[in-house]
Amino acid sequence: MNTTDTAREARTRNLARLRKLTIGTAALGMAATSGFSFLAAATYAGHATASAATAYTTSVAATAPSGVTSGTTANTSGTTASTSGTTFTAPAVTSTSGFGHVSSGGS
Amino acid sequence: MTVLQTADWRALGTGVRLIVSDGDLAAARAAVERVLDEVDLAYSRFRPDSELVALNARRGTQVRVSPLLARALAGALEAARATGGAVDPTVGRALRITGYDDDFDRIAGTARPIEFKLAPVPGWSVIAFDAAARTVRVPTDVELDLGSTGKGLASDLCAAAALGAAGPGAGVLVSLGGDVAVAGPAPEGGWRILMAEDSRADPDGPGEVVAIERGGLATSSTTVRRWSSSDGVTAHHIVDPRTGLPADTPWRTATVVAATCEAANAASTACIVLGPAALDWLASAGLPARLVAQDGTVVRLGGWPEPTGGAAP
Repeated sequence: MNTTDTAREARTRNLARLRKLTIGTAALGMAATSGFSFLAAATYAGHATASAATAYTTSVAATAPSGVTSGTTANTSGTTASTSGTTFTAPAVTSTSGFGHVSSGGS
Repeated sequence: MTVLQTADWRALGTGVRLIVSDGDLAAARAAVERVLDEVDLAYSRFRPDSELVALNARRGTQVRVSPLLARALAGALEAARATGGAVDPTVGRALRITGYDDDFDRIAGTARPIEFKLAPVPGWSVIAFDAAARTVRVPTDVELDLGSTGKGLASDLCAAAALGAAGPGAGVLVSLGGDVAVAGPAPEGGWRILMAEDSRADPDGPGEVVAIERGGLATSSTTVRRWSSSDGVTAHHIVDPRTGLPADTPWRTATVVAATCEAANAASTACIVLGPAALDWLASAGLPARLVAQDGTVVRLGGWPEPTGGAAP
C-alpha cells in the first residue's frame, strides 16, 4: 500500500466519522426537543410519575442515531443542513443592536 | 407593549437569570427554583446526598435511578455518541484529580496541589444503561459527571417550567451561567444575548449582541472556570476524554445555538475539545456557532451573523 492509498483511506474514515457525528448531532437536538415536554411537565409539577418514566424511555429510544428524520423539526426555522439523507434544523440566530437581555460566556 | 420582568439569583454554583415577558414572574421563579432543587438533588457531583453521588458510590452494581437522573444520563450518553466521545460523562475522576472536586465557588479561593495524570477516560460506552428499566451500572473505575449536558438540560427544564407557570401568552428566558433556554413567544426582535468572555458581564455593556426566538444558546469557555495550584499550575474544567487532562485548545470560548440548550452545550463543549477539528464538525452539522480563538480572532459559521450596530468584532 502506498502513501496515497493510506491517505485516501484515512480521509474516507474521517469523512465517515464526521457523517456519523453529524447524524448523531441531529438526533440529539431533535430527540431532546421531543423529550423535554414530557420531562418538564413531570419535573416542574414535582411529580416523578410512572408516565414520566415512560416519557423518558420514549425520549431515549428516539435519540438513537438511526431513523432520526421525522417531522419533529417542522416547527422550527433557520439553518438547515443535510447529510446522508438526514435533515435537521437549528433555530435562527440574528445579529441585533442595542443591549442584551442576558450575557453568555464562561461561567 | 411587551412588559419584561427579571429576577437574578444564584443556584447550582452559578448565576441564574429569569426573564418573563407578559407573565407572572413570581410564579415562574418559584417553578424554576423547584426544578433547580430537583436537579441539584438528582445530579450534583458536589452534594453528598445527591443521587449521582450515591450512584458513583455504588459502582459495580446495577442501580435503579429516578426519572430525572435517567433523563440526564440519557442526554449525556447521547451527547457522547453524537460528538464521537468529545463530550463524555465518564470524566468525573479526571475532573476530581485535577482539583475540580467541590463547588467552584469554594475551589476558586484555594491553592491546592494539582495532579495531572495522562490517561484517557474510560469512555461513555462502558456505562450499562437501560432506559426502559431506568437502571444503570457504572464500572468500578468510573466516576460520572453530568456537568456539561446536565447544565444545559437544567436550563431547558427551567424554561419549560417557567413557561408553564408564567401564565397564558407569556414568554420566558432562563440563563444558568450563560447557558440560555427560551420558551414561548419572544419579544419583538427576539431575546437579545450579549456575547461575553464571562457570563457575569453586564448585558448592557459593549459587544456583539445576537437574538434568538426559540431553542437554546450555550457558551463553553476555558478562561473563566479556572483554578491554580500552589506551584502555579493552572487547570480548567473542560477535560479532553482522549487524555484525561484539561483540553489543550485553540479556542477561548465556543458559543453554539441549537434546538435545545442541552444540545447547544454539548456542541459548544465538543468544540473546545475538538480544537481545530471543530470547524469541519460544525460546518457539517449546520449549527450556528461563534468561536473565539486564544488570540481573540472570531470565527462565525453555520449561519452565525456578522455583528451589526457597531458591536465589537
